Amino acid sequence: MGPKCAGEGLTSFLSVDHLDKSFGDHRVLDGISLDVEGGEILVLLGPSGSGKTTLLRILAGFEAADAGSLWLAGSDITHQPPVGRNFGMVFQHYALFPHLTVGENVAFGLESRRLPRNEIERRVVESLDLVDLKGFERRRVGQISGGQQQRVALARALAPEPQVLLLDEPLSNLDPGLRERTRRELTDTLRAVGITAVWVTHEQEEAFAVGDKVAVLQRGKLEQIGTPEELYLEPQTPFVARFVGRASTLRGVAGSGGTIVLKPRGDENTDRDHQRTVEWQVSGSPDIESGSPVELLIRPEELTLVAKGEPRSLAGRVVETRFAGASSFVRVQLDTGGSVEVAAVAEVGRAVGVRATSADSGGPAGRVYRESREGGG
Amino acid sequence: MKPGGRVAAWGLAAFLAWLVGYPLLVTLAEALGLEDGWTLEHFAEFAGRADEWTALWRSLWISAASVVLAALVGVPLAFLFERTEFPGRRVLGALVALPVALPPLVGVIAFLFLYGESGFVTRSIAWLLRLDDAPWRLRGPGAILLVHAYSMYVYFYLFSRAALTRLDAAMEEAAAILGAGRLRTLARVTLPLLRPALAGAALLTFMTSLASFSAPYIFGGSFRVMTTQIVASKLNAQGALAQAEAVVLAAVAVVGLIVMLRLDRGSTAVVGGVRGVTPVRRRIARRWVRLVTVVLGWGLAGVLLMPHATLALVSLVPPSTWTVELLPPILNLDNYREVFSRPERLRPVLNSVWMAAAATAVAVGLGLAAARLGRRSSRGGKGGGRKAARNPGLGALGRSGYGLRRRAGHDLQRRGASRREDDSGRHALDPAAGLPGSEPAADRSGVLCGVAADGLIARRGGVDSRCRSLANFVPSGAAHLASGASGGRESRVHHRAG
Repeated sequence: MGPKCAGEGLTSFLSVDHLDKSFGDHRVLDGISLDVEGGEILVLLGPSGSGKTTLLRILAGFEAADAGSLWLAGSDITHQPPVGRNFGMVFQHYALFPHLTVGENVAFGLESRRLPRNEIERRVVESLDLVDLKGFERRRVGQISGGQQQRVALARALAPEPQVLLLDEPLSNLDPGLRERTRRELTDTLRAVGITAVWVTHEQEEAFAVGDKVAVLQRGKLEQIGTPEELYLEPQTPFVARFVGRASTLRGVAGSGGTIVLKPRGDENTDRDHQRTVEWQVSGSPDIESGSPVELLIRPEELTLVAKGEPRSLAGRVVETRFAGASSFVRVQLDTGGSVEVAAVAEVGRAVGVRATSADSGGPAGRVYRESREGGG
Repeated sequence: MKPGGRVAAWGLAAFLAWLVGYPLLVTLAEALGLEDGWTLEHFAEFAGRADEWTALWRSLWISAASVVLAALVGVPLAFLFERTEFPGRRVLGALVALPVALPPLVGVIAFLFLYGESGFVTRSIAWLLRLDDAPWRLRGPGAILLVHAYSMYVYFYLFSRAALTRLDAAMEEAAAILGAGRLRTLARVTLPLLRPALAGAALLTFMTSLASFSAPYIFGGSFRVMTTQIVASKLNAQGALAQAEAVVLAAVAVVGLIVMLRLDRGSTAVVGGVRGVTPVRRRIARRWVRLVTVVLGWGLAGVLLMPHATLALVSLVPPSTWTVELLPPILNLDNYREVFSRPERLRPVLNSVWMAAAATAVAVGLGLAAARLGRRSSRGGKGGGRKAARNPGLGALGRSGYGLRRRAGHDLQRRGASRREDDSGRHALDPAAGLPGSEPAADRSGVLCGVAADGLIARRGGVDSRCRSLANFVPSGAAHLASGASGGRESRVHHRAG
């Protein structure tokens, strides 16, 4: 039994409590717990295979969890079949019924609830109006565009006034040009209705744009849940730091008093290259004991380019430039091995030094984590 | 298209037209009195005789009833084998398709041995219930329907299974989360989505029943349908009347085809062509339900295979050794020895084999050629290649219609304009498209290539896959037929567009 009991210590509208799920030997979800407040949009963000879709399908009732429980407004819905859950869902490919008209699709959930005919008609009109598809009732699903199909799917899900709306990568099937506009319309509609929503995506930008809260999943584990700002500014794990926004990885050794010593690779035992060793002030786990291997994750805007040989800078050479509209990035190959991305402008081939922006003020740079076995950067 | 290709297309189209059209024309001509001056008197005679109308009516209702019965057996079986998981499902699922592998006349004879007045089953039941007489008589419309249902439910079974594997699981999930229970989901979502497959199976069953001869001939007695009526007329030396009857039967078949296609027009192919995952098979959780399913399943397979077993058994009975016993007292290989040692006995066997082989070779050759030409022509149209690739059922005949259409003076653009409708028609009659194993090859060169692929799979795999390939083979052939039909429709649609 989970630590929570019905109606007790349970303030959230929708709660996921210690959920486990395996397919055969493969652990898909591992002890997931998270809460969604009423009217909030929670985004489940993760790479493919992270378990986000499985979690959504368990919320919908299409899959049963192996262990753990689901709570909706204080009652246990773990074993409730999808039919009785009163959830709505926008499927990845919309799953509109091709043999029914737009109006009949939207009416489907209302008919299941045995509402009177005129009530159904009224709500079909209302729902289509909500998604700006007034007068589309008699159209065939095959006769409308992809974006319109997506809106019909939303209208169909919202028409029965569900308690929670689930969205499975709702924008992935649209042309890139249409995505941002549709995303805005979709979130506007959700906010106007004030519905509690769980939205699955693998795109960080989308997650940040729509989510009140974002839950980052990886390999069936919840890495972190928080507001977009929290995730970006205070990533709890290297995975989150890398997955949310851009970040470069630097390896080094924990120094004393919240510093990290960055040394050339393979030089740990000699002092020969002492001048190439750089010590930076960092933020991060205070419990890392001095001398243990750590990695520093640092965002491009936390680094600046300085002249080669400047104190507390890492020497390197610009190997790549990337112009991204408002900002530009360069990739610097470090003499100590590895490379970092810096928000700056410089031509390829120039020898430069890389310094933490905050180093001038003595503030911390990047976040430091115990070196993970998987590595990479 | 290159001039060489055009010539080939024309040649092929002409050959196919001859293949299909010539016999029909001869029949029509003879019905109109080819030999002794043109006349409508044979049709007048047909129209004036009550027994002719009775036979026609019986043909129609027997065929319609066969469709209903076959659907009632085949569709639930498809759901059972596609949607649930229980021990033996794969093997049973293959065995259940076997009735179609019994040639009609042979099947009827097996039924006689089993359920006839002195059949194994009949006598066993009489013995069990201590009856003096057989509990039933295997004759009349009931017997015909029994045989039809037995041999034709397989169409519904295979077509529905194929369609169920193709069905996007999200459809039923969407229905569930919108609050629809199992029955409502079945009635409002699943079955309507299966409609193209069901229509294809219904068309095939109807046509096969209409043309069925063995069962009405042997069980019908005085209950005459059109096929037996034709033979009776022929035997009465009323050749021209028989031809008139044949023309009427063919006309009914064509009308039936048109009606079916019209009914099917409303059905839609799945939107956008995106396909989700296939619905998962539900493991039957409760132990006793699983046990009952397994027992019933194997029992059913036993019943379905009894005709095959009966034939094998009876083939071992030496002549005039079996009289009143329930089971034959002597079993040996005398009959086989007879067949293989006497050339005049072996001749029919060899004839059957080489004719079947030759027919297969010609059909494959024609089909591949037509598909090749069809593919080349469909590449010309805008986006045609991709569309065609998604419609593996685009069969030989349907494609070779291209040459004929060119003659009608329609260009590729117009062809594209009517494509949408064409495609839905092909979809509707494209039950083999979803069958496992047949798809990738069929993409390229039509159904017959799919058949070839099935053959390869059969050679690779063991017993189970061989059964499967048999299962695949049958609807592939069916789609071949059906696409011939849709080819006809295509040119019809096109004429209207032009």
